[in-house]
Amino acid sequence: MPGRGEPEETRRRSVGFIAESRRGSSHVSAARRLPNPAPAQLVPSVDVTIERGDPGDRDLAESLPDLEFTVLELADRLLNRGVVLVGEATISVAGVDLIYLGLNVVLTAVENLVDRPARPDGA
Amino acid sequence: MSPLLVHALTRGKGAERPSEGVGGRTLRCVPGGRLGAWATAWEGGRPELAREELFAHHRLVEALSPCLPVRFGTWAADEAVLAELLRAREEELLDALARVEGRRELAVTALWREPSAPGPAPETLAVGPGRRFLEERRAAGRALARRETRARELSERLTEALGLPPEAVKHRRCPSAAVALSSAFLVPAEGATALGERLVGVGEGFPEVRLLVHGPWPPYSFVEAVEGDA
Amino acid sequence: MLPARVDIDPDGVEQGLAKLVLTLIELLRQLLERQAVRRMEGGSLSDEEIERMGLALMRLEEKLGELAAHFGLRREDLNISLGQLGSLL
Repeated sequence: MPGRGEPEETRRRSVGFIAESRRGSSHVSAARRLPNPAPAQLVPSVDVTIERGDPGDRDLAESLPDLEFTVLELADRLLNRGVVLVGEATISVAGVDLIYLGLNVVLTAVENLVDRPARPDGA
Repeated sequence: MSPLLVHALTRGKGAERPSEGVGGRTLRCVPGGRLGAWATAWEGGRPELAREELFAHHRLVEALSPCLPVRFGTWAADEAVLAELLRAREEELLDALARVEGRRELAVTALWREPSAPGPAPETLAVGPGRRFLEERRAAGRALARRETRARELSERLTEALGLPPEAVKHRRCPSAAVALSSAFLVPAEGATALGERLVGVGEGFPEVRLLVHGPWPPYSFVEAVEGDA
Repeated sequence: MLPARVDIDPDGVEQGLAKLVLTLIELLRQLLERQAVRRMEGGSLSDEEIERMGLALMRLEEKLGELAAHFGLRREDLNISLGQLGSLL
């Protein structure tokens, strides 16, 4: 739903939270896609837009800012908290590398990386 | 190839079993040691994830509670890899699970009621633009310092109100211009809502902020061990 | 499977670098500003020095804003997330 006087925002390709309250932008950190992950943070590939509420609905006007912040706090947790199974590491057993984990990588067996050449579509 | 979008980890097969994953897709439970990893099997390769998937993930985490929520957007190529990961970190993950079982997270956002805009100090009116700029910055710096002190007081009162151990409380003071405090509290699931109301009560002693309490939610903020919280 | 889901998006790469660089400059700028205010409060500077310093910092802030805009970044975008530690700025 578009905010007051703003063009309709369809899902953006580049990431992250767009939430602009009257008082300034949200503190929720924007999650960016590869290839520019912030080095200190693992970033999943997500495209989430938090839209402003429908300005025509006066009854909700009071609760809207609250709802917006609830959504922001929740989304911040979903994107930036939780167990991180992916990272920059290799899991070895008895010196044999079994699993390769890279930033925002699909967890995959090392042999798949080594044996199979990259497919042209990047899968 | 059906990559798996991982949602949460449970002890064994967990207590409840939701019938399906995101968007009606198959939900799998992949066993690994004494843990189980719950994931949606995605036909046709990884898609761009968006808002629907984000909140569907949240609903699944709720349905699978008690569990360890996995960061949204975590993909595994196949079940074997996921199982191996669970086995490799089994002890650590079981410990993490033990810390949050029977507990939920309350989230707090405290918003400043006034936008911060200190007027220029009277003595700056008769000076050049360069000096006026610095005087304005100085006034802004002081206003910010006052706000940070107030945010700290609020965070302390909130912590006291719940009487939780330090590892069950996380605060981020003044994360942005509009927000005084963004906090997370790990509380017993029983009576969590009542504790939330207690927090609202604390907020009444701080008229310059509006306190919002969210949750109870799954314990997202308390599952990874991180040194040093902001 | 390829280890990295690399999206070749040239604008994204450029913007990512610009953001990193400009964020660091913004960090320095804020530190300089704070230092300038402290020196001004310290009372060891002449009025003229204070005025010159203020003007220079004003221009620096303006310039940074222009640079950011050139890369399609807003002031609020100049930040680096440090994961669970919050943000740099």
